[in-house]
Amino acid sequence: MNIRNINQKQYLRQKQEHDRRKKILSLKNIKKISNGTTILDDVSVDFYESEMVGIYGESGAGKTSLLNIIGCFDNDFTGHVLMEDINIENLSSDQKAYIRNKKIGFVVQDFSLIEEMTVYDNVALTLLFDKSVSFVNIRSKIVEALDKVGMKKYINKKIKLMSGGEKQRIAIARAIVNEPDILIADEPTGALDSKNTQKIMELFLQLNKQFNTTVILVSHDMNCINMCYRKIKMEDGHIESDE
Amino acid sequence: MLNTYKRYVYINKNYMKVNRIALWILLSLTVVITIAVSVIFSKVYTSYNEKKIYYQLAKNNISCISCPIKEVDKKKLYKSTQKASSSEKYLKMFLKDQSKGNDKVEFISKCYFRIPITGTKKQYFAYKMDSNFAKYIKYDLLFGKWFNTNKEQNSYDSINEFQAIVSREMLFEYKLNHSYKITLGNGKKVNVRIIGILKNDFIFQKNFVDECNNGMIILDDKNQLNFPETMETYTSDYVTYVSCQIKGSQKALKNFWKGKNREENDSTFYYNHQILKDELDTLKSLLELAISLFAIQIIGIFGYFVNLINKEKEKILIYKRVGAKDSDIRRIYLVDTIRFIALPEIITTAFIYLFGEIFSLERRFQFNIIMLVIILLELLISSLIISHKIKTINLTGKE
Repeated sequence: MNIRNINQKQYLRQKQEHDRRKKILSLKNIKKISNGTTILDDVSVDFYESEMVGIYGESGAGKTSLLNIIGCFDNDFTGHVLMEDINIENLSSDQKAYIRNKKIGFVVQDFSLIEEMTVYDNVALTLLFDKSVSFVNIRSKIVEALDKVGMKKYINKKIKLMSGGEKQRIAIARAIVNEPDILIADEPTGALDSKNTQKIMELFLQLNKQFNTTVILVSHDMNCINMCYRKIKMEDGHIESDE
Repeated sequence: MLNTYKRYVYINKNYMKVNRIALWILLSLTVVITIAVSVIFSKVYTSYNEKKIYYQLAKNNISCISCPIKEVDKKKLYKSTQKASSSEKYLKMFLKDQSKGNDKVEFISKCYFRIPITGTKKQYFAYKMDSNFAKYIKYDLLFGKWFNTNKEQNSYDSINEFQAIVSREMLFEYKLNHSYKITLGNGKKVNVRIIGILKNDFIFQKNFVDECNNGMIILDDKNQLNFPETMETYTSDYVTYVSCQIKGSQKALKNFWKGKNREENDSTFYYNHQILKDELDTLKSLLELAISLFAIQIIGIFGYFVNLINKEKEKILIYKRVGAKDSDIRRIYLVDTIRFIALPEIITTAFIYLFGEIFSLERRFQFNIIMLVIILLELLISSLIISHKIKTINLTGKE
């Protein structure tokens, strides 16, 4: 699939489907002020099951801050974050850790992988912190996740021996290994060349389509944003457009 | 629980490889310091305390403590011993009395003499004592007199109450100045009043008088010691210091302490003031070295953790992002602390405790307690550093 040749019909069909989908995350009147500067100003937005959302905007527009709040990384804000009707800001840090482990997968620009470890060990991290997954099931889940991102054959390879594109695929495998409802990606292609950028975006689309994973990604790259059927533009801490 | 432990070990299984150099340095440091300190502590501490007393004596220009016999209040001695039965305090009291002393005909002299039991149990305490020495001895060990084993059993019939000194361990059963009814080997029941405690490191030969008297020395009716036969009864595995008092004329005592009755190579009795001071200084330096080594160990562990957690910052951030609770992360590093620091220390300490006897290491039990406290302290320090660091790491990547 080529980024520039997205089928307009397919896009419209997805948009119609999206309208009928279940709301899985709702942000209401989110405000964040840091060092006297307003980072997010009364942001309200809903996210639906199985949608692929691209958030874009200038530097300092509040994209990453919004993503940090969605991912339960940031507690320093006012407003409400409802995930399946549960108000996240009322949860304890252990409950938030549970959400990060089971409900949300994250992918970042610098991959956030442990370089000296193997692919297997990195992907295993998510499952090792989930005590509901038994030790014997860990391997099969890892193999399954690596298969989804096409990296099964590198299972025993060390991260430090891999290219940027490969590393990002491993990061995605780690993010999806526990089958989260939402996959958040902060500039996932920021450190990649155009060839790898396209591969990673195709992977996100594939995950979204085949496994109904909600993907919320933040990017500067409009080529990436254009691959998402819902685009949110942010400017000066608020949502400028949502289409 | 095992499953959780397995997870923690697995998560940080590469820890050993990543922090290899620092970890090996710390491990070696821990083991070497633990052994070094235990040896210093064992070998030096006892010696230091003993020599400190000799030094006190030497500084007062006496090679033994002597005081007029009439001024020694036996009751006072026993009472004092109840409060503090250590030989040091006992000697200090004599020192005090000595300062008030005058030249009377008879003196009681107090000293320590060294009984080197270097070989098998067959060597006897008495082998360094000759008849001249025996003539003067009225008291042995801390106080009290030896039991005369040569007497016929029936000679005790006329005695209503025996006096006895007991080993320190027996104080669990017997109290000072209390009377007890005990059964002798011949089946006769006798009353015994406990009047004293033996020096801490004195060890009885088992069954030396009869089974019921293990750990107890019963004094005879006249409080007399019959040498050398009685002394031959007692053996020990260790070099043991036995304190004694000697009664005699001033002249006889002076001659005695000058070494006239000593074996030529026995240098224990007569200490030169300056030599003692030098020896004390050396021992003191060794003790200071032991304390410094402990400090280095604690600082090393502290530094290691600060450095480790700084190095592991990225990892901790990743752990948090994939859904680790703070308690999970803390336990991962505590499990590592136990595996790589506490466990080698425990093994080394246990090794010292079990095999220390071969190398004649004294005070091993006390050393084990100190090590246990240090290990707990290390775990506490590491736990605090880890907890603090985990809290400062923000999930957004900003501290």
